[in-house]
Amino acid sequence: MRKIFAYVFITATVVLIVLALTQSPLPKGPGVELVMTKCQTCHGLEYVTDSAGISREMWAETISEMEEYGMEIEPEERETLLNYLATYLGPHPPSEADSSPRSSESRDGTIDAAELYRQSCAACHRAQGEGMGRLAPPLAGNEILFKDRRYALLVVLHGLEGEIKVGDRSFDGQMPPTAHLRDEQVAAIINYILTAWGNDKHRPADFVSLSPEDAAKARSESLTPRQVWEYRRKLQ
Amino acid sequence: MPTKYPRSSDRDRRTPSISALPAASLDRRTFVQLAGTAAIGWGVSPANLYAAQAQEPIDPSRLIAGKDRRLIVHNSKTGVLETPIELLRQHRVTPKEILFVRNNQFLPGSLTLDPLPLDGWTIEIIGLVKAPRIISATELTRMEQTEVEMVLQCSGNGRSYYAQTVKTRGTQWKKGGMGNVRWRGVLLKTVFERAGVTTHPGARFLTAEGKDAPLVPTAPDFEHSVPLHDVIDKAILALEMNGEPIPAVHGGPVRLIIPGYYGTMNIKWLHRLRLEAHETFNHNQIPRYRTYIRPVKPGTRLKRTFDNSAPNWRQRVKSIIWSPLEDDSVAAGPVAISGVAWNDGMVGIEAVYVSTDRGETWQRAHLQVPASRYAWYLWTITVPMGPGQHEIWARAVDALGRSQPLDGSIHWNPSGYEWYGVDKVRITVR
Repeated sequence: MRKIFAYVFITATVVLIVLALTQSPLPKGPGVELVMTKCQTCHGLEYVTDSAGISREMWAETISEMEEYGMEIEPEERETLLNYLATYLGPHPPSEADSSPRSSESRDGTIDAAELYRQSCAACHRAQGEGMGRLAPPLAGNEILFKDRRYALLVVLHGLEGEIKVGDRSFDGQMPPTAHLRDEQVAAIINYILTAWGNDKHRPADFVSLSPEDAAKARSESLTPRQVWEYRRKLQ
Repeated sequence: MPTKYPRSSDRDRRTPSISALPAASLDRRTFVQLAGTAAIGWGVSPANLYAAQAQEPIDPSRLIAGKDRRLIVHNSKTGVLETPIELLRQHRVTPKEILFVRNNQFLPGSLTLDPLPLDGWTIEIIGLVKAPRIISATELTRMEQTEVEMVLQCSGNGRSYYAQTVKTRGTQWKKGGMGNVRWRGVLLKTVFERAGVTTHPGARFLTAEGKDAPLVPTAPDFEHSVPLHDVIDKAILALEMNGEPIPAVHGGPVRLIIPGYYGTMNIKWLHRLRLEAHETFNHNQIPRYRTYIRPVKPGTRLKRTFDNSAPNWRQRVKSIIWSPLEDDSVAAGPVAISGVAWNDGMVGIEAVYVSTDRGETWQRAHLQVPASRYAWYLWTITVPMGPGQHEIWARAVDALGRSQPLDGSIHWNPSGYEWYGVDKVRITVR
């Protein structure tokens, strides 16, 4: 029995490592999360990697153009984004060996969930979880988050594609999978969302906080964004 | 009288299909190699794992229902797909399954080859007109229909070739951001006559809007202006593509079609037409989708204004070699070379010249009569070639003497639009 467990564990670990390496077409580096979140609001990452090799000035112009297209970005975020693009997708990118795989993660190992939310989710779901247009539903007061412990994990890790209704508003944006986040980060972000902006009032008393293990389990499922949407439909 | 474009039956008699061309000079081994590479690409590979896992779907048919799996994905969110030349060259009229897609924005329910319903669709005509009008798509079906076969080309097609000097940002299209399609619908001037639209003499531009919306609500909604005098006799409010209702992803139920113009001006999901004294100040008209009027040194960053730049309107004269392809290996001896050429349709293509010695000498290819002056001209030539590494160049010239620059970077611009340099492919002759 122990042998089987060990075998399953090793297989799962290998699969997870392979998946982690193949998930993102972007080189790892400080600011990569900003590219993941800011850029995928409107277009796929291919559009970013397609331009790899252009100069810093041209990346700066590209960011300005995207601001014309409604990208909202704080000055210091803009600097981080530009540094990332001009370095890792610039004319002379560092070789793979130069980039430390965890360079952009929290300095002392603890996770600042509010900051992580701001970096990874707020571009579309907004600072107070109020959502945006027809693109992104509100997270504040969104009851479906409490119907099921798996749902939020599946959306974060596998994305969501299809028209949905929250209250009397409908949304047809595509949520990209943000599987580049580590299990601890995924669990921390969702736990943050489930208590922020008055959500703690909607939260059933027996609703247990999510753990990194829950995230790992949800990650191991192979789902398309459309399948997550179908899962959501069954919840309602 | 509305302009008469040849009907499909006439065309079929006049223009042999591409299958009648001499067999492409791809030998069997190269073909098998290519096919093998493709199979690996879609079989067991990290790309496949990656697609299945999460980040983005790579399979184009999953992105846009009905599209061929072999298309190249440039943007998986709004759906930007390129046609490999290996597929494009198999048809005179490009089938919907392989036609390229370039979407800036998103219309719910449009990422499919299925048509959207015609019922309830309306087009508003406003601005410098005596009285605004709203016409329904079903009214259009009752008006006299016109058909035109034409090259539809993204103005970014060939952008990747600007990287020979200074790479420009944006989708790095190779040669397949284009196709040759048949549109059927009502001429704009017929619509104006039948709907009683009287334009003010001050109306110089036609600005078109689609029903799609930007992904972020604060972004400027996509629209374009075209010069009214130039389009009034040829623009079509199209209802059909290749003999069936326009697929949703290609802009149905009603798309503005302006033969000879770059694809971006052919507004999809047409919803509103404005007659105006000036072209729109919308971000998509300026600074986007414009090139400098005078050549600049590649890398120059000069603010694009109404004075120093022009919109991507009329297509520049262009030819593409579609056999052999880059890196092909062919047997020494007579080598069959073929491709297509087209321009803005103002006059005909006069000749296509081919060089196998980097421009030292040129030979004139055989041109086939196109289906319309906006459609592509198929050309063929057989040139004896000896063993070694060779480049094949192709250059079209039209009846106004307009041609392609030997070095396409003369037209360098910050967004890399309107590449029309002499087409060049490197091959190995065995």
